Amino acid sequence: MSISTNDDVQALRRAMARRHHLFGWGALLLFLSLGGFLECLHGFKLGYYLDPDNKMRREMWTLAHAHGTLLALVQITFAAGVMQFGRWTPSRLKLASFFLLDGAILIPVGFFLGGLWPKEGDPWLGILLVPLGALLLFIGVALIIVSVLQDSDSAEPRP
Amino acid sequence: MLHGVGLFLLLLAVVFVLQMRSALGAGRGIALGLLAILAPAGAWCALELTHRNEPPPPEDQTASEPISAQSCFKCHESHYKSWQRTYHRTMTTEAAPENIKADFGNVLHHYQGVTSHMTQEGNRFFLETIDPGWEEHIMRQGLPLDKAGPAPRRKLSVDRIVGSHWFQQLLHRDEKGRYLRLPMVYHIVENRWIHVNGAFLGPSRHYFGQTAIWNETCVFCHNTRPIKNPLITPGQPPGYATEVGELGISCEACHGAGERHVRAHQNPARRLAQHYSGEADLTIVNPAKLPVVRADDICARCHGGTMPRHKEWNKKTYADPYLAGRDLRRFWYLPYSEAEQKLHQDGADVVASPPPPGPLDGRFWGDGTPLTTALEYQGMAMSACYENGHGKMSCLTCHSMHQSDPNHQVKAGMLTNAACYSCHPGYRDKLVQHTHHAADSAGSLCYNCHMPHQVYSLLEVHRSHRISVPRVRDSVSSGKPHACNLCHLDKSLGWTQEHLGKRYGTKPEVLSDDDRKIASSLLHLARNDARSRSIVAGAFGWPPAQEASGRDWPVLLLTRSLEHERYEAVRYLLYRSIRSLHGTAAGDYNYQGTPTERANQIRRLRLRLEGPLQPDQERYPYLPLTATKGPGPPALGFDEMFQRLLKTRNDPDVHINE
Repeated sequence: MSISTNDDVQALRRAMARRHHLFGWGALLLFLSLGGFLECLHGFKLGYYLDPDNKMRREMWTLAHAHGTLLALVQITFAAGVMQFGRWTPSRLKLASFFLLDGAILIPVGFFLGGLWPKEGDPWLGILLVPLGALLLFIGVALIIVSVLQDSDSAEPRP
Repeated sequence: MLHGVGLFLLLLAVVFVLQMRSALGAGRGIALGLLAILAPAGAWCALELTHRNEPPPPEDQTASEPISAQSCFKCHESHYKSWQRTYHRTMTTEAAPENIKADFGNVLHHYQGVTSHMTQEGNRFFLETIDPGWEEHIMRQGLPLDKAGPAPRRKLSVDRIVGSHWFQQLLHRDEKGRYLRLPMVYHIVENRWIHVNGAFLGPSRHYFGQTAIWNETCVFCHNTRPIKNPLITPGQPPGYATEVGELGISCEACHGAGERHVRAHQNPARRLAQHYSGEADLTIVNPAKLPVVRADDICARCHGGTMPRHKEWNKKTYADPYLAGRDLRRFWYLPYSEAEQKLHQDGADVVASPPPPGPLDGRFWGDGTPLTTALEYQGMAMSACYENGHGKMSCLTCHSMHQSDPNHQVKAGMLTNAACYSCHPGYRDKLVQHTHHAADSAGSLCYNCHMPHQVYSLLEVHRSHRISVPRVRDSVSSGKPHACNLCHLDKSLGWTQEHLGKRYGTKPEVLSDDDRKIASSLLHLARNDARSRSIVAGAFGWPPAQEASGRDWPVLLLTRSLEHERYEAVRYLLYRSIRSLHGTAAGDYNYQGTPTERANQIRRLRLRLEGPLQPDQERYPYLPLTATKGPGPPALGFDEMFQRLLKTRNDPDVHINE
């Protein structure tokens, strides 16, 4: 395993910030568009989305829109903050980044797929992505907390 | 599709391992990645194994815990909501404000010299009338009520309600746990209180005691998973600790015991496996997937006039051992006459040749056709279309419990000829040749001739569920009004026979002079017993019959019938038909009023309605009309004819307790 220098970590932080900015703003655009799409379904009163029998689909897609938008904002917040806080090792930073991205993809996509072909009180199989995404997101957030805690314990110079 | 999902999850796993490798290096990353994948995969496998090891449910699940509809709502919301709209749900309810349709707003009702008082206090409802216990006591002693001294009054709480569609019957819970049916009934259709004498077809009697004990019999058809639980004390009337899974007809009534189903499906792996396996779910009954006989058993349990086959029952609890999916006949008899019912009551288990209905049978016409409701199964089972359940037809062919109007629960499209065309497509192209009626007329609707309104209950006439060819022979021998003459009320049975012979080549029966020459409706109302009279009285209110028979003469017959009618239920139907013919001009008529009150009301009714009538005798050759054109009373012929026929009236006491 190579020994990382402070400069390497800084470079990685910059790369991660860029990645999460790009992903976060892109996801925000996508999930705001999904919100617009859902508004259209309301506007045109489409039974596929609004009929009482399609309540599960409505719920799933609303959750996809809400979680996607919220998690896009989480990415942007992480991108904005990663240069500002936390004592990061390259592996922890990479893992936190991967897991935040995984959560932001798997959760809304899982909800969306779950609403495609719901069956008698249960969403479609795609919903299985949601607990996986949630687990990864949970670990990602935990890694950020660990880095922040370590940051307060040490006197790592800020860039 | 499942393979596709599996491949997708595999792809995700590979991406995840690559991420771990990128972050932690090849060795540690891949090892930790694989471990992290194995953890949720292992948890899922454990869930899978749990449900795979479940044994199949036992045939007898009567000991299982009842499941309420609320539990089913969690997964079956749309089914729950469609069930909620039905009258099945509200068959029995607690007497709470949201369930009460009856008017308890300080209402006084006078009948047979007794004033009953209906009131509401907060969320509780009360009926004050003669003490039912006193009436019971006096009756048991065999004393005449008028010599028993002044009747004590009592204010009784109304604790439960039976019905929500036609009537609301009141139940009072006494100290022995008995739910006593009280003598006042709310007739929802007319928004008025009536005494129970008028709610069922039977001779009027002076009685204000309890008229039935809900725990005894009502509990079995009006609730789900009933357990009678009689508490026997020697020398005393039994008390009850009756339990029901749910008041009213709920999910388990049609889907069987649900405890295992609910428990099994709390496991998400089980649910997913069930959704995508395409295999039958053994933990629950789906009537649509049962063999026709077993599916119809579910409906027949309450729509088959069932009687308990006690030898199969637990003698201590009297819990209903039948659950959807089981063989109904193992636990309940399905009698085809009151005589057969009596044999079972007397202890006969198997009746080799069931006796046919007697002349006063209160449940079946003489030809075996059910004449009241709650016997729809027998009607269907006697139909050629049913073929002993080996055919395609079942209750669910025409009815749906979840996709239908709550009123009669008929599937969409089944109130048209499409219902019959599904098995008899040949008639689609030769409808008019077959019916000899205009294609868009009531006479070309299959069920008007083959399922006519020959059934009485609940102050209403209903369609027969015996799908049959209308034969003159059956009407002559049984007193059952002929389908053709329930629409052509102005025509004789002879006229019907002549037309059936010409059109369908049916063999003629020997008919009396009156049957050939006098309108069948007049003969039924003047001569026949109250069962036939109720059906014909109701037929006059049917718009297609009014259209076919003319509206300018029935009041002549209906008012005379009213004058001589001793059954309150028939009086109601006669008056309702007059009202439907003449609207508000019919004025008021209290079919439960005193004889003087009723006589005055009929006199006024005749003055108002009969004067302007000028029915044309040429149009009605089977009616005894004397005035054909011009002014003058047209009713003279009716009076003479009616009086003559009344002398031969067969009017024994009959009872239709539905």
